[in-house]
Amino acid sequence: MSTAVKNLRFIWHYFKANLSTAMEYRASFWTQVVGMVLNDALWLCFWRLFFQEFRTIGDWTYTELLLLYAVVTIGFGLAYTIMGNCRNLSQLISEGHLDFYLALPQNILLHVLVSRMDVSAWGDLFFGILVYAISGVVTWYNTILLTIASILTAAIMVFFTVACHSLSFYIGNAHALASQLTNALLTFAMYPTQLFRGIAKFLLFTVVPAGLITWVPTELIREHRWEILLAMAAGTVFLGFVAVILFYRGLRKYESGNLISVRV
Amino acid sequence: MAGTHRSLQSEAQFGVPRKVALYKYLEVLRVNVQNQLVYLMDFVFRSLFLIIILFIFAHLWEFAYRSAKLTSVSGYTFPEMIWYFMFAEVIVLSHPHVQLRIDLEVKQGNIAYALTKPYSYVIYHYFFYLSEVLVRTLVNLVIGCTMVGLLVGQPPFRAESIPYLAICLLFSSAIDFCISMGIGLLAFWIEDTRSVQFIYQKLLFILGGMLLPIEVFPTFVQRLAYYLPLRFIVHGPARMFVKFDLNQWTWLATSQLLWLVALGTILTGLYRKGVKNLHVNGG
Repeated sequence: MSTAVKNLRFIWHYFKANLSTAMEYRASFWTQVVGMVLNDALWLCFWRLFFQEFRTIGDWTYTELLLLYAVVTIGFGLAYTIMGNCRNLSQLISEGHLDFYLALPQNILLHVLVSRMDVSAWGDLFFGILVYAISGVVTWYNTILLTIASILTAAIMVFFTVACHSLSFYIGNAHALASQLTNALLTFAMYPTQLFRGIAKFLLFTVVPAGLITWVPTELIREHRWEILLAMAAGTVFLGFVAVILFYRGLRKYESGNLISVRV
Repeated sequence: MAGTHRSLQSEAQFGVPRKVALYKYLEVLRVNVQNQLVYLMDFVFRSLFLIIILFIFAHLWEFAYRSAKLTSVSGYTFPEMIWYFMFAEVIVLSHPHVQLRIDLEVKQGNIAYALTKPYSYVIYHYFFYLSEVLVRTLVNLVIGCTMVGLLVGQPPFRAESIPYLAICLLFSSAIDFCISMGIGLLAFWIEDTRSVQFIYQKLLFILGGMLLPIEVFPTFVQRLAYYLPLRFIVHGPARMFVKFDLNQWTWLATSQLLWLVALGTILTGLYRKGVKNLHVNGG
């Protein structure tokens, strides 16, 4: 069996186990999911009101904005339901909790990432699908494009989060910095890139790669420009490369605190 | 040990004069402000989000005003809109999530230890909350004013309005405290209060007038906002910041006080009812 298949099976088994754990507290699960759907829906209320006052933002209408919300929330949902532990990575590093993963015969980074599920991210996932369904541009072709774009968005989010949190290997506890940077990615990804010009636009395609996500509604879904999808994939691969290098180079600097802890 | 409950401790039970009673809460405030100041740089660091969101909204509104060739929207010019948004954002970001703390204390049973202390649980938490509000508001205001000053120029407010604005902000935070603490106390009855807090926060964004001044909304949303206390937390003070008027301020402060009395009464009732349900097992 190839390594890729082995890793996919590993992710699948962890996903099932995490879901079973979450469903143990069924009421809490559904409260969080419904809460998140409402949370996202209220943002759309803001945009609805905004577009009632101003018909367009450049060539963006309310439909493009719905598509942006669909791709970001589905991407976010996929990223954090499957790899919900990535936002705890810096704390695991700085508090010496990586020992457990180092002793096991699995891909260390993958094992850390999949070992937790963010329950509320299910709400984002459901919301994204719902928003796409009401966007008015549902076709088989667009659905395939949106699915690929959402998977790439999820990968961008995970890789960026890993890269930021891996800074803990180099500068000590980088949790606050990493959280701010990952929030920045998410925040910028929710607004049309057209709003920004010059250096700000350049930063959105490099330092905080939200620009890779925000061109999905216009360039990909509306214009059907496949080269955009290729550029997005290339950006994702590059970001993945940076994240893995930062993590494994940093891991050489990792110092165990001989901490004895119980994983629940 | 099972099935124990205590009612709210009043100062009278301990024979403490009222002056001393207030003094101990002021001490709580003083000590916690000092604690917050130790982590001042942490607050500054966390203000990165404020900078990002102000940057985005300044560009969003600039684009919208320019492309629609408008000089004002519902009476707000472009700089007024950005200053309004800054002040509204500062208010929301400066209110700590007291619900999280209360939820945890109720679920873990730590509330039982607090009940044995010679202070009112609710008032203690209010002063604890206020200490965070004071430090956060100052830090966020300095950062927000600097950022917006650089983006759109001079603030539209007058220096003599500062004491009035401070009073509005104090009432605004007290109303937010009553609602957030009330949500936290729901942990006595429901499994997870985070979602309720989430929704409250997002209602503040819309019906509180954080993202847009309420005047911009369609009539039915304005009417809905009119019957809720949320606009007195964000919209009222933020509007006073950009369009100060003494008559309107008097009306705002009176309305805030009335809501505060109503919500404070509900909170006290909720707390007393919740504590009666408290069961402490083990110790």
